[in-house]
Amino acid sequence: MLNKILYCFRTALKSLRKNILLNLITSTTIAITFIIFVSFLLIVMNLSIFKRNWVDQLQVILYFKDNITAAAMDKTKEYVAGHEEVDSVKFVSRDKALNMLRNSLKGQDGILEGLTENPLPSSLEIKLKKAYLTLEGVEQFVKKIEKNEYLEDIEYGQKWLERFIAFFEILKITGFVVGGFLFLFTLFIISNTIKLMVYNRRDEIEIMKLVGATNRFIKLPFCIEGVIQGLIGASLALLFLFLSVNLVMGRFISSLHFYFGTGNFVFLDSNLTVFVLLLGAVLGLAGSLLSLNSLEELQS
Amino acid sequence: MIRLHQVSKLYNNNIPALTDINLKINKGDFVFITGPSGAGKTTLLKLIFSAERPSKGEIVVNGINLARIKTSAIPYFRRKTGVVFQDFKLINTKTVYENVGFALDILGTKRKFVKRKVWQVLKWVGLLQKKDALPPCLSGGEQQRVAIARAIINNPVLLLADEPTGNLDPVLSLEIMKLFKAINARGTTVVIATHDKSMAEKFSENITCLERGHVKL
Repeated sequence: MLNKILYCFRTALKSLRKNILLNLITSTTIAITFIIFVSFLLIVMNLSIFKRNWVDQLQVILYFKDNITAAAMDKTKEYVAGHEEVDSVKFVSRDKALNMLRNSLKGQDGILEGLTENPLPSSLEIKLKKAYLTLEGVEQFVKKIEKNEYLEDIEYGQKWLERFIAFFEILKITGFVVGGFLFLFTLFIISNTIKLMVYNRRDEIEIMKLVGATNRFIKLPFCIEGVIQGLIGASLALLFLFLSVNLVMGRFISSLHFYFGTGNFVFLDSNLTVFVLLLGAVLGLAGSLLSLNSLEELQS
Repeated sequence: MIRLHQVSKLYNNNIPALTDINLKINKGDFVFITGPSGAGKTTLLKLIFSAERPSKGEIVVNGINLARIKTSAIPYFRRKTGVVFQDFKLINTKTVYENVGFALDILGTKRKFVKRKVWQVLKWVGLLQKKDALPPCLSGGEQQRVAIARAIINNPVLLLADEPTGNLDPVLSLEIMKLFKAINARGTTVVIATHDKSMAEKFSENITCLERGHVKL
């Protein structure tokens, strides 16, 4: 049995070497498919991490109306803190808010020089308990407190979050649809390459059958070729994306990091890398079987 | 060894290639099937080799009924049967050694054993010195000897040859026939289809004549 498998491997490797140009074209096509698919995967994965981090850091900010007394603010703080959703409440005075703005604008604080009075309102920064850190949880909490007479405005980035979630969902669906089509395309390419290989070796196949080779034995080298093509394609794609993310996109991503402040761009972990490689192998195998099972030469 | 009973073969166009053939070949026989082109010789060999199924009748080869053999069992049946063709059917990109060893490779035979066996068979057919040559570099007679070496490397109980000398001159044809005779002397049943009746008569008395798909009595 082992000898048969070794023979099939040798035959597959010989054929890959012999038809190197055709195999290179096929593997490159597979690689391009995987680059597009894995790019979607990386974007969705990183946005998912970004969303999780962002929601974790989500806080509701209540802005007080002007001319509200300190007692009224304390009363409001107590009222807010009394809700079961609330984890902590922090009061930010007008002066503190201005200082924070100055700190965040370091180097560009000249913008604030012309101000004759502090335009910022006092506010309460509310951190919710983890169980309520969802868009629905935050909205329900906001509904409960928005009618408070001392409040001017409530902010929790709802519009941005809604847009982001909608975009995220569209991206996920697009990824699946585009990925699905690309994989069908790849199956077609692999199966046609294998058909060509079978055609190139049709005399050999005929003789193999004459000397008593089983169909399974004849098909195995072609399946191995398909798997190797799939693995090479997936590996090339991973290598290309890894280098792109780490070398070329490094600067671009660090600027994203400045704007969103939610950690680094994450590449596929080892489990996902193995998954992508396996997907390449499975796709190669499926493409081979698809063509082999439809070939008349291998029907009897 | 081989028994055909009322065997007919119709191809898709409904033209009968063979009609009501009855034939019995014993173990160790050296048999010729003769007849002009289109008589049905190749179809008869294809039926015995299970490359075709009969439209009617029974074919029993080595105890196996080929009219009812499962498709998955055909490769195993073929391993006990060697076949030689007029056009040699060699792989032009493989060396003589590889072409012959191929029949053992597909059985998963150890390389060491393949090497020993291929050397032995090539020596027997007188081609050991050409083991590294590619088939297009060999003469017709040499190519046929390679095909014979491949056919006998598994020690088949039955050897079928379809016009094995059709592409060879009389001297080489004689040489090849002598080789078949030697194979038969080792106990293998040999069935040769040829249009050359005089050649058949030179080597055997056991001759079946076919004409338009019927056995000529």
